[in-house]
Amino acid sequence: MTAVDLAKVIDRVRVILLDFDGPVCSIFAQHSASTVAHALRRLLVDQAVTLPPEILAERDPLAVLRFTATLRRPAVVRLVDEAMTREEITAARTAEPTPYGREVIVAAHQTGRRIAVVSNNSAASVHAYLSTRRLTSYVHPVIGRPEAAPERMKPDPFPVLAAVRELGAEPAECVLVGDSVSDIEAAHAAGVAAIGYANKPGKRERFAAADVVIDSMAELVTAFAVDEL
Amino acid sequence: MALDPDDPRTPSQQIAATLRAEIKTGKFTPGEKLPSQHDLVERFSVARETIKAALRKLQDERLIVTRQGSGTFVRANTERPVGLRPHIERAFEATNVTIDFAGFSGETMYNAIQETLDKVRIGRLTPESIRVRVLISDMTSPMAIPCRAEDQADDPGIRARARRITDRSIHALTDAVQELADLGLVKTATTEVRVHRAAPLFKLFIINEQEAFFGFYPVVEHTVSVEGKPMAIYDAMGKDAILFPFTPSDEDASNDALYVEQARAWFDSMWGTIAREYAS
Repeated sequence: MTAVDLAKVIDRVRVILLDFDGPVCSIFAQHSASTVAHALRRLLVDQAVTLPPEILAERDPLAVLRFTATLRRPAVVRLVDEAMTREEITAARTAEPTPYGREVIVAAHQTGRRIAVVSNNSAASVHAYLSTRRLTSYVHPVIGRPEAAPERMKPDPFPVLAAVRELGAEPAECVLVGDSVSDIEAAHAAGVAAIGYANKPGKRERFAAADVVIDSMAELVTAFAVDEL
Repeated sequence: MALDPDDPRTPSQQIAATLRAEIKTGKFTPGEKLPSQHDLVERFSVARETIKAALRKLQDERLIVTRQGSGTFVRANTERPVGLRPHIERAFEATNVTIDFAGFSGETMYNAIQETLDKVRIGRLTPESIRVRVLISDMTSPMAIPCRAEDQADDPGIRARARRITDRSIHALTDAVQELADLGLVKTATTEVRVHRAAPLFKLFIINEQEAFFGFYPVVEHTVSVEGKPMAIYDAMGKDAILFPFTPSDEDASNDALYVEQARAWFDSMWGTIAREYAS
């Protein structure tokens, strides 16, 4: 993977789809993910749900939500999904910006590219973050977690396709930047190129399927060929 | 061009309509000099009084201005960016030229004056003295803009970048003006630069103490390179700003005259109080 590979991918796209937690910010930087996962578990226990050992040990609240979808109890799914959304909105207030995440958004806009967010977090929490950081006007649309339908979250291509459709774009002119394997799977299932953002050691190896892998969001800014750099 | 005898309008109305169309369609551009009354008399084959009546109409419509001794000009239109250059060039027909600029970096200032200075160099314009004053924000001090967009905080790296841009245009301007004196083309030529600690929010040109041009700097966000790394900053953007012209004509004691007077007073007050020598 070289800067040339990245430039080739970027050159043919007009639309940048950004995963939220990772490429834009670290949403649970202060309000910890494991605390949220624990709160969701308590809700499930209150609903008399028996939790398997792997869910009892789970630190990712989205994994708890995904498990909830397997229960076939729509009312419980809704309850947990709504609780998750509330926690995310709280977390968004203290989220930490990803280094060069803002620069990517602004530089994409500056060079005539369109930017959308495709996240498994709730759209409301993404909006809350963008608004606090004065970034709302650059990003459209914000596609969040499908409401009370965790089974349609990434790696399902549904949210990616929703963004592509909303933009009136062709999948071939889009690229998705994500920091998890499910982002890359969702993008490819939607016919969209994928850039893996290896923001932690060991991730690069897991992104074998990605069209290109970057270690810093700054690499994207360079690839956009901004005049003022 | 003959007037239409069947046209119900008077000859002066027809002439005004023709010239109006030529101004509005851009055949004569803002700041451009109209043909002399003598030439218009020949063109339309009418009496001079008829031409004068037509010009008076256009003047009432604020499409043209008349300057004693130099002729009739298309008024700079406030609805689109005004080419400053023709105004600066005309200012250099005076014996003693003064240009005062207040703004961010002096980049627009240098761009606007460059061509005119070239014309002095080749002897097409021959003022005796040129005095340029530049009043800009002091990028050695923190101020509201430019700043980091993420946290709206001051960043010495951003200011260092702004200083480099400023230095470049100030040096180019100073050298170009000085060269004219060195070559003996003008008796005296000076460029004075002073800085103040207010953030750049607008630009103002005052030309020969008679005309003023004002433009707002909107605050824009862009990603630039600061110390080799990309950084999103809030910055003053003057590039696309519409310059509002204030060009009093001889016959109206309008707002424009008052504006120029107040602009001069403002400039001089800044210059003489909180502005300091620019150390490049």
